[in-house]
Amino acid sequence: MSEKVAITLNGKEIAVPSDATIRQAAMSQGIEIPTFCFDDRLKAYTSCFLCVVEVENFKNMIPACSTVVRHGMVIRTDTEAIKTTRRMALDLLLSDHYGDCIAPCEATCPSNVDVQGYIAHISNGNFPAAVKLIKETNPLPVVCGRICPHPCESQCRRGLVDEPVAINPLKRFSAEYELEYGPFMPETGQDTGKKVAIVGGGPAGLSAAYFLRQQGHAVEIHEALPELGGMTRYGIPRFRLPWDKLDKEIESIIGLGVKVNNNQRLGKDFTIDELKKNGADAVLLAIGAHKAKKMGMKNEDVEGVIGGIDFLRKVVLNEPMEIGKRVAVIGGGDTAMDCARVARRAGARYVTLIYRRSQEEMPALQHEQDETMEEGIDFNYLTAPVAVLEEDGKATGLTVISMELEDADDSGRRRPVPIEGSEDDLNFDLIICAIGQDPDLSCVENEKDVPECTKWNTFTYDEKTMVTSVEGVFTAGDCAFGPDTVIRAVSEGKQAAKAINLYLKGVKVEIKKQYNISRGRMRDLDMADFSPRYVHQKRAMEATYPSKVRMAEGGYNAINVGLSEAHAMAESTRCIECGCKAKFDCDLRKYSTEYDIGDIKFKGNRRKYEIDKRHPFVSIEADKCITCGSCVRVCSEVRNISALSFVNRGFSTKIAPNFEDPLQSTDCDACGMCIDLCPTGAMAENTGKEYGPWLNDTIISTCPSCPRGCAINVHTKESVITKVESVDNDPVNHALICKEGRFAHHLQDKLLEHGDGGLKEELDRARWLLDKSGKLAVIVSPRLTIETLFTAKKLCDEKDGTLYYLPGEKSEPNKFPFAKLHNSANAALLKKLGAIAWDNSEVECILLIGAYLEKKPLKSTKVIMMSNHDNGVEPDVHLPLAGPLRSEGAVINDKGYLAFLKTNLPVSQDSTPHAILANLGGLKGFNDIASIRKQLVENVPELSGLLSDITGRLIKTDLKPKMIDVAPDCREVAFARYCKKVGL
Amino acid sequence: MEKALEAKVEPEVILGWIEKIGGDSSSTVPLLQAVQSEYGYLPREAMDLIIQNSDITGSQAYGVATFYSQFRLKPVGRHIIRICHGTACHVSGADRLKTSLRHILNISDEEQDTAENGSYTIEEVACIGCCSQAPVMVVSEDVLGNLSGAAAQRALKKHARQNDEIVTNIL
Amino acid sequence: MDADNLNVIVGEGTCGIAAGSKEVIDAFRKYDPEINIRTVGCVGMCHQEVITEINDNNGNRFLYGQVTKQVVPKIIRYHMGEGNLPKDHLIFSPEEQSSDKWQYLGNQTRIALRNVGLMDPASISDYQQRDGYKAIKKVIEDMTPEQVIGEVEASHLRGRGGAGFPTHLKWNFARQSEGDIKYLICNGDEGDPGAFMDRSLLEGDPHNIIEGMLIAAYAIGSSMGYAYIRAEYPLAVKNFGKAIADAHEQNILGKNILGSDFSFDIKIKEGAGAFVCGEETALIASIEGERGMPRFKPPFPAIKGLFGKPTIINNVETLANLPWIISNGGAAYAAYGTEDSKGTKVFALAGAIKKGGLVEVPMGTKIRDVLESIGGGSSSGKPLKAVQLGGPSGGCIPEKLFDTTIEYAAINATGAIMGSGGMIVMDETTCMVDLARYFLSFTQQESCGKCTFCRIGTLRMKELLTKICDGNAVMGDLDALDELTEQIKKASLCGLGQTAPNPVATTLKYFRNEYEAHIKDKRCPAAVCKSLITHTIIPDTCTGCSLCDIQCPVDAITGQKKVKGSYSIDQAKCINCGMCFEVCNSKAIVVE
Repeated sequence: MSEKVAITLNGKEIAVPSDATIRQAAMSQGIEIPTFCFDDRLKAYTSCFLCVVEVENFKNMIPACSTVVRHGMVIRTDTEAIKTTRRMALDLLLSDHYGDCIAPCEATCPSNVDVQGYIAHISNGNFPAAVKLIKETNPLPVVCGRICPHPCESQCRRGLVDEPVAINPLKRFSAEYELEYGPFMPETGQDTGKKVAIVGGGPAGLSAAYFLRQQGHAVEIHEALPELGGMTRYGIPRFRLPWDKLDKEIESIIGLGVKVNNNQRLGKDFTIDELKKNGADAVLLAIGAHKAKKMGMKNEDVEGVIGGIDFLRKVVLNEPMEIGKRVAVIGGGDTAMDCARVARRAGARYVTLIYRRSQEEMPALQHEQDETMEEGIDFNYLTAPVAVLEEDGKATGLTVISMELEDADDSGRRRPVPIEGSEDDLNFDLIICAIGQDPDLSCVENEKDVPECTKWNTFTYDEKTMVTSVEGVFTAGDCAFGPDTVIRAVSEGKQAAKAINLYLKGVKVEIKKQYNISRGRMRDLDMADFSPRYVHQKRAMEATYPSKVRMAEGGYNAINVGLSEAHAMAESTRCIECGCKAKFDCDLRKYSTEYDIGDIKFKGNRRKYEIDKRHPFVSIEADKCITCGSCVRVCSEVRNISALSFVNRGFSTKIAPNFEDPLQSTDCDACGMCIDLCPTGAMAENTGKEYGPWLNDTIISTCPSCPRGCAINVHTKESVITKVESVDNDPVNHALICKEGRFAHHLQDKLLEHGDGGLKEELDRARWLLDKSGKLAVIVSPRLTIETLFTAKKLCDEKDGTLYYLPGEKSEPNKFPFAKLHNSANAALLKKLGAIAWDNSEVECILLIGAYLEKKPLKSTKVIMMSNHDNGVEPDVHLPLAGPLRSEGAVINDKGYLAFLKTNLPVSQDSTPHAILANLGGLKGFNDIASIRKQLVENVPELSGLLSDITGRLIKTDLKPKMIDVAPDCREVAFARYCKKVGL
Repeated sequence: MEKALEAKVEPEVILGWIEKIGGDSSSTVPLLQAVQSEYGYLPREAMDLIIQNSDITGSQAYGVATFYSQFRLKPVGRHIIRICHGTACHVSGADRLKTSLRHILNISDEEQDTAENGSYTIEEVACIGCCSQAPVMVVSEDVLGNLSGAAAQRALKKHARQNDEIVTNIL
Repeated sequence: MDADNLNVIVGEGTCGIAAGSKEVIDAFRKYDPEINIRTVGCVGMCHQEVITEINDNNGNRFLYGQVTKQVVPKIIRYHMGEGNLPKDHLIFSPEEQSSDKWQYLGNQTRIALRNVGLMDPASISDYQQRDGYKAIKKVIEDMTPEQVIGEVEASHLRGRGGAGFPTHLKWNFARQSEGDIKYLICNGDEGDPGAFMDRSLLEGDPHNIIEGMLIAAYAIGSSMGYAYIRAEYPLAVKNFGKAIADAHEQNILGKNILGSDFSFDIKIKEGAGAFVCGEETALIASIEGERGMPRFKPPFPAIKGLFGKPTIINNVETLANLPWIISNGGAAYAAYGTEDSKGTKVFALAGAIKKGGLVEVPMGTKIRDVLESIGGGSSSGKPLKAVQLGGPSGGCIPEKLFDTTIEYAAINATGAIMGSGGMIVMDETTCMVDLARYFLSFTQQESCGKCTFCRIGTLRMKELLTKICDGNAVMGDLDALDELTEQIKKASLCGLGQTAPNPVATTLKYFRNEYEAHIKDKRCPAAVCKSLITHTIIPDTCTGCSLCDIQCPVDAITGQKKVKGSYSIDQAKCINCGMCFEVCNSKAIVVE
């Protein structure tokens, strides 16, 4: 116990140990002091100056991480001045931090769909996981996969290599694949007793419903039209978005328990007030924008003139309409294209598109324009309608005028101006004005509380909290933001659901945005920085049918066909993974969010380096480095290894492997602690898309690589192990783990993948071999758990065999002294069980358990092998051991301590090593670990009482280990080979 | 740059220095200084020999070599010109010395500081303490003060003549 | 009369060499190969280099300045009775002791510099003849360490490295801290660009520094000392090394010094070029063989320093004062100066000043007096506008504050710092924004790269200053500079970072109009900033000599040789390097 001193912390007098730092003192009071360069495993370094506090009588800021308290010190940790300094520290660090927190595709997507993440799933062939991930932010992937204008692709950095990744086709492929075999439906939350009424069943309303149901709120959708889908059904022709797909996707949302009232129009059939009176705790207005914009020209209201969106809706509703022979479509957007194509399919002979600017300015997607043109539509550029020609109250044509474009103004736009005297009269039977649409807000005119509206005919709302001017009434989608894409509406619906959820919980509606840094917009980036680094590869294309096929059979079959599975897998490899691997555990991002850091404040030179991926396990992105030096220090100071250096000085200081050699040619032993200590993504695991930048589940488990039993933090996604980290404050190893613990999961052997009951055949054959053979040798690795060893011993007795272990004159000296314990694990028990060193005896059958045979047995010898890896021998039967991180049981280490390997990862009870052995030997009472231990204690009294107490990780036993040199087991050999293969 | 500038490292020489100067970690700077005084820069081979035969680690050697401005990791010209960039020299035209010397040595690539023919390397150094003679430069061992751009060129040409080096023939 | 009878003494400090002392010596030898020539350190009259002293066989001393090889024959002829006294070069003669040239030294009070330039630094007996090593003898024989510390306390000596921490206090910490071994480090890493006091002392009077180290070592109980000298000072390393060897020979260094129990040895550590190593903890890291990165204090070096042992680091000039203080008493030293600051201070006077060089004056002297009565005023005749004190950590003091007295508190009040003593004088041809950028660029390169604010903040300041110099800035950038200044000062680990913004802060404070001229008028009042000036040739004045054309590094000048007024500058190519302006003999090139 050290002495205590009295200090004043934020006005409160407290007593703290006299050797405590200010940071420790603050933490003892629950005050968190941010830091980048401090870590408990390292000596204080005092470089980042994020941890600054104010101390009375000092004019400078005081670093809390390294300043020791003194009696009477008056400290403040929360003043504005401190925040200013911390913000400046963050601003400065960010001004030299070159990277993309999230990939630009995700950042550009209005709903921030984790594109890079789902592409990683697709590249692993895990399509359901891809869709599950998409649906975290977008419940309409099938819809979007067909019709989204995919702004994500416009910012895809792959475009700086060759062509953007075919993001939308990939989404379409995986979403439709999953729709067929799924669809994925998330769990709904526990009933909250709250009810939300959603007015409008379009993308925004559906999206809100999807997310609100997951929170457990009751949801009721009131839809004015006969069916759900809004603009996706009534504004997009079904040859672009087939209804069967649309219906199925909507069903996957409604199936979460959403009540739907069709043909119920707000303002006509019900009011907001009534909804509230009928029990709605919150109302969401998502009525879309279904009123066509007026042209403002003469005779616009006569018969034969119709708004684009009205035209499309009438067609869907099958309402009678006279199309005639000649149709004019005014406008240049996607709706105009759709109108023209639908008009064609409805029998118009001549369809003319009239657009006042030139082709270059046309807002419709290029392929839409092309397809429209192919379907025989005539494009009239630089032409503007002036008036509708009318005869007997019926439109007969248009007066148009030719236009020319002015030079670009300051905004870069070229304004069209009419050419005087160029008027012309054209004959049309139907004129479709597809120049845009507005929300129809007349539906709220008679409300008790009329929500405030803008001059653009949208609801006034707060873009962050989605609230309207009326208490409890929220809005989302086209009626809020104005007409935009489906994905934008989906995003707003999601945002509204979040806001409504907070509102219903009664907490302040506040949605904080994560800080994201970006390398910059595409136009500001240099192709030379990207292009040479990758093998160029053509983008996969969706195949569009020729127009003849498209127009056949009434023209309403799907017009194109998506990617095949093989194409999708191949295309997914084109993603260059710009989003940061550390996006979920980056301290720089965390604090920048916490301190509300905005845009880059100091624009200036940034250090730019190539990513160093030469080491098979560790990648170094020095341009994300904030020079806290934790990696260099943990390596030299704690591990006593010379692998990483500080290089240069001043602004160009960076970290690099010594002499900038590949890391593996330094003294690096790949413990990867640099990765754990890096506060950003500068040091990261060198993985590709096999582990995407996903938000993983984490489980604290015990490392099974040796009896030391280090705690490890295992990340999993879709039950695949994606990453292993050290665990802070683990007293066993001072929170340091080694290469084996961290990277052993890279050894995922395909052999382990047995389907349901897939082991049955092997087990039958193994049993048959055991029964048939005469002389049996059971050879074990001393690395197995004592439960498995004991079961092996029992099997051996049952089958009249001899128990052997592998002696290891050739075993390598221990390469990982700081973590890995000596090789003699479980030697005491093996001796006790009467095992003897394998002497290459001639036997008829060998049961090899987790052991590696140096000398091959005779050809006639039958071999049953239990291991996860190629083992040097050709087995007659190959059975698995539990996966590297999924072992459980106890081992005795070389100090005579009992250590428990307590995996917290799911273990399949039938495929544990002892269960397999019990199965082979027909042993009774050996199926679960508790019963084995019970019998073990009866046989080995020294373990009595110890095995039941599994609270402690290390328990002293009476079993005195005798040092016997043993050969590395198959797992170690396999890992060594793997390392060699990857170049270590 | 000419390949010939790469030094040939004799292991005995390096081992001799370790013997003489010491192989503990505090000998890092003096050992590197010895290597540089011999070869004009720090050849990788010499650094490796030091690391293998002393307590000095790779991280330390590389870190130190890139920290101090005296050390160079790339071969240098046969003679070194040090242009002082102290305050007095800065305000009296050190930049002009650099421009004029680079001009007659025909070094136009911003990244380069050595003449194509391997004759001279121009280094910018912090103050060499001759402020009242500013601007100052040091050619090999000779300290020259009160220079103008043209005077610096004349001085360099004189040095070149004495050492059988070729510089662009102007003035 | 034969030239053999003359004793010639040539000043051969680095500045003497820079001014051509080797040529002068060669000229003497050429005249008479047998001539008796000795060399001495720099007397500090740098503006008079090469300085040559002649002792004739009558015992008369003659001191000549600005000697070149052309002047040598004139001097020799005069002393051989053949010609006239070369009066233009005479500084001092038996007849004439009050020339204005001599005033330069006459107006100084030399304690630290008392021997510099007056003796051969390579000769221990020269030093001993000038009472050298008497102080350490007195210390060893008659004084206890406490008495030594007491004497230093009485002198009120404060560290001359810049921060001005009382020397005796530092010593007391080290004296009191436990340790089987204690180290004394002489900090000769004079990194301020524009300072050369330490170089002159180490080159010109190395034994004085050794004696100072001995006194300090005796006082704190140290047995091992390191002299950390910049590698840029080869002559200092050489002279100091010889002095150590000579002192060893006479048992002034080594075991049982002068027969006493006191043992002390000195090792030279050559710096490898890092300004930050002037900082105590960085210097220690450097000696330990690491990157010179400062660490957090406490623990202070006096408690836990080099190799984890108590360590005292004293600056060269501080040490140079010690033998004098011991010999003459602390009170005698404290008789100089003011209440706040006692004793004398050495400055390295350079820049736009007529008589630059080393200046040692009592504390309390006015800056103006140094500039005028010693320095002789502006060298160009153009009015002086500021002095820069303290180098990259210091600041600019404008002309209106030239009456500030030289003492710690008064200098700090201006926003500058005393620093180690670099004093750069500037007239109107210096652009203050460019100067601030120069210093920021310096600190940026010299930052060890450890701390956020210093590593990135100084670069951002430099970038903003560059923007201003290039005429691309907006007034808001000045606010950003202010903000950075405040934060970098407040949140840096070591002195380098904490003081790095000073040059910007003081120039912004006193010369804001220059900043505004760059930003608002896109004009550089001093015609320095290359983006804001143009070089043009006045055809009427151009003689067609073609010198400018030959010199232009970017081939921006074209014209016809020998045709008057035919030359012109292609502004698209011109990089405003100023080479043409410099070589033009007919003043035909104007800079605006």
